Amino acid sequence: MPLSPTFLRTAIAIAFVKTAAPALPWSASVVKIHVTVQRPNPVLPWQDGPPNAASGSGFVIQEGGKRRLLTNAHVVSDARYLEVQREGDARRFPARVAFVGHDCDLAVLEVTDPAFWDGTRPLRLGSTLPALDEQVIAVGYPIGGNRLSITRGIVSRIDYQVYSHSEVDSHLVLQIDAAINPGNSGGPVLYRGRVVGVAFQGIRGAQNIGYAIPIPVIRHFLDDIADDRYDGYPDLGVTHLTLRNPALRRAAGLPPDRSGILVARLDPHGSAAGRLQPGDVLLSIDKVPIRDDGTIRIDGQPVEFIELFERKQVGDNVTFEVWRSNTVHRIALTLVPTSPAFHFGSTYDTPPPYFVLGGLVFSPLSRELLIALQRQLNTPQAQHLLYAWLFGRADGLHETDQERVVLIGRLPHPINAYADPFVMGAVASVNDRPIRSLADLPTALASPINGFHVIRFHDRPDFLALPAKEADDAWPEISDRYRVLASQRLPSPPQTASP
Amino acid sequence: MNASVFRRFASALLGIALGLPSFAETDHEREEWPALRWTVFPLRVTAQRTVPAQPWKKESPERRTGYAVAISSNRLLTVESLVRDHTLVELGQSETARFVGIRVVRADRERNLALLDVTGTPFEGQLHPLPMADRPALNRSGTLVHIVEGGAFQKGAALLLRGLMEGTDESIPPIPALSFLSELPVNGNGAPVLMEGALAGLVARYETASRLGVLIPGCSLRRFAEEANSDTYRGAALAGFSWAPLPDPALRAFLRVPAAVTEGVLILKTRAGSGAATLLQPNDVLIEWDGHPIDHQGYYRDDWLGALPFPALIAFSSPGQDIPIVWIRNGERHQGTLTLSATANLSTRVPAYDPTPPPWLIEGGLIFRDLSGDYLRAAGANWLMRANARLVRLFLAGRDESALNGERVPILVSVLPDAINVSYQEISDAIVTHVNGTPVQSLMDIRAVRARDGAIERVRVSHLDVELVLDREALAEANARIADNYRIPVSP
Repeated sequence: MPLSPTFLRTAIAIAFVKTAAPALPWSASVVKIHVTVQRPNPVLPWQDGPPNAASGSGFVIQEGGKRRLLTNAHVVSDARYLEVQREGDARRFPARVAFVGHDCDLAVLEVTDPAFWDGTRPLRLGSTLPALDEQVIAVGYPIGGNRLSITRGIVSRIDYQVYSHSEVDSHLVLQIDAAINPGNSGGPVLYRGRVVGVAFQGIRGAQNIGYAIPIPVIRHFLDDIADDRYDGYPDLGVTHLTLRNPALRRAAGLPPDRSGILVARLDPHGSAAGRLQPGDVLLSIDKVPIRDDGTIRIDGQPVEFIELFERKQVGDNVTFEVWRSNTVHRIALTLVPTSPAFHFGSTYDTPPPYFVLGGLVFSPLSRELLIALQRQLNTPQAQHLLYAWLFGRADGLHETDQERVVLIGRLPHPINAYADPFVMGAVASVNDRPIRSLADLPTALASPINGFHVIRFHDRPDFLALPAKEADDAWPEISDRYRVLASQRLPSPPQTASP
Repeated sequence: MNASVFRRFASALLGIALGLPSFAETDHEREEWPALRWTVFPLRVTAQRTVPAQPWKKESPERRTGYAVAISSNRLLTVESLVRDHTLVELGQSETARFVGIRVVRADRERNLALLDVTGTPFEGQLHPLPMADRPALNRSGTLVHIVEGGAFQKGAALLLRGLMEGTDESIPPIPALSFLSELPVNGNGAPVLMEGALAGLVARYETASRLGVLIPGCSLRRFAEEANSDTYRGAALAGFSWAPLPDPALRAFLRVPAAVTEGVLILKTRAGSGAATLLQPNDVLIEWDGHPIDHQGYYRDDWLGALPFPALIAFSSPGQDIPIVWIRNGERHQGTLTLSATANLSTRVPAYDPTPPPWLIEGGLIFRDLSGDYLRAAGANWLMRANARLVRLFLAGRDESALNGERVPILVSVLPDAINVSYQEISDAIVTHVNGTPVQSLMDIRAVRARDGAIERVRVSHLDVELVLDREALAEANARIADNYRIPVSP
């Protein structure tokens, strides 16, 4: 069959491109990640939203003799189907998430097909951060094309910032003036050929400002999973005041030649609980002196003292020098993970728990729920939810309760015809049993009061009474009418993290 | 057809369309207008709201105009919303350009009424009071009066439609009022509606688009006028309980309300020190108030106004009045007599609004005041979401709690940055629990400690377990410096 002129022109063009553009040094290391994502529906927690296709970047690393891919957690969160594709290779290989750290927005992927790894070259991780004004490059697959993209820039700032994936965790970030666009996420940021960051977020509306997760955070994540489990960052659980105020220093009895910070409150679930006391002055951490403004010097640079914790793992020990009762004490403590209670970071990879009783839908308070219901939050009924979200930890709600259980909606049925005023209420008790988590509901519902389920709410004096038997009997009709396949999805029992 | 005739024709058509009496048959034709120039007066108010977070400051002056109506030779009534936060209240006369500053004797935000006095002004002894129409008839028209440019009175029919409960503010209980329909686009609140030569009510608000307005009726005016003259004014009557409708058959059964009893509302809470606290308990079902059955939505049948929420009966009463009530508790019927309390005698832990001016105190740049609804509402339209959630929660709980010993929620509003308060400058909206080691429950307590000790050296707030410490030696100088830098008058 003769070749058409169009075919010939295309073939010549491809041949020209292939000969004109030698393979990039990173094409054996950086991959494109194709992902199909389905986010849960926090308002109808028994069903998910529609599947959406997305893509990101990743790169080959070698840790402990194993080749794997490193990328951002947000690239693979809530993934239903995951494929990876190498530069210049039409094949896509199924992959799975081996480890994910939503608090640091990093994930490690595994690909079981050995063909994928043929000819790959792991990137080497740097050991230190580049200095300001040093030139770096970002490599990845940003939107607008299927071929590898490289952008150059300089390190313009190294700072702490909230990671937008979890919305609550702050870690070190590397700010660069190279463009980082959607699709770049998960790609390496290289300095002198070594990885010093993973591209992960930008600023909407700002030009040429991109952020990368810097090498200390990457190293922390990889070290954490070395035992095949991700524990996350430890939580000291200390609220402090700086001691820049001379009167406060004097009240703390601190001699003029000492410096430190004042322990103002302790989280009962934090690492310092039971070891430190309010009124203690933290003089040093692991022999590094803490200055009155809360900074320490690392590598000659002043940084927040909390940065030392960034380098610690759950289970590590930390030693403080503490000024207490006009004496210096050395207090060692073992670091524990952050308690999830009333933390309200974004939730991924876990379908929202729920419980349906007589058409009333209960679910734990979460960031996703608040966002979904935000238009209804400007009411006295919902105010408790905002309070629990913003001040739950500071005011110690987590000392007794694991979560706030919310009546998030009503599937209308005659049994619940008068329940609307209670929607958005946070459940305090059911049948006079305190509800400290959704998992408490089944037990509480086993003991109706005089044939009624009596549901009381935080911060409101009125209550609901549902006829217990009728509420149970209504389930088949409610299930069928609203296509709710199961009346409950309770959370798994909490896993205890060994320190 | 000229405009006036056309308007009259159109309003007559409207009346026919609504099945209402024709405006042509109203009383306004029979009024004696010359007498009104000494009865209905234009009012000019300069108002300045306090900045809640910096209570020594006032916002830009706001000008309001409306009306006041004479009720004696020296006194007038108007609506409180007109004179709220007044800096200057001036009374004018319809036919002259003369405006004279007058005194606000009493302004009650909960009743939305204010009593004004002209003693010592050229108006003294000159006013021609109007009698009050205690219960103006519904479905009849009165005469709405206002003053137009040039000082001429303009009149129009106002058809009284129905009774309702009018809320001026979400944190203040609604008051009974009358809705009216008028073709006259009334140009100020406080304008009177006259009926058969008597004052039927004062306009509390009017919407030009719908031509509907709300009137505070004569009986409410009369009661306020009588009580506001007293030196021991006690405010509106207060029953001292919160309640909720009780339509849910399941909840009624759980509360053991007999099936034969279909009426009644659920008692949620009673306020300490109130008459209700001596009789009622949470989960009681109140079925009768002063001889009126209360339905499960909380409505009663008023002889005059028809179906109204039963709190109207409380608003129509006076503090100290004894009210027979009937309630069901644990399936048993009970009856008793509830003595109404007075709002002035039973203040709440977190008041809905500030006194004018709100008390405050600054020491070492730390701004102290008591929490109030006004303070939170300063966050804007969505204040329930935007104001500090910890304080909003306290407000929602504390607005129904009696403050029998003057308890409030003292707060550290914010810190004016200065060398004396470094380390504390990011603290704001914090609840103050101790000052100089002494527990405090109000700004008054904080002031007392300061007066006792001569300075505020140590402050404890609820979310920290250590004290904020100020350098006593440097305090006087710092206070002067802060006052100078931030242009703060001497703290009251």
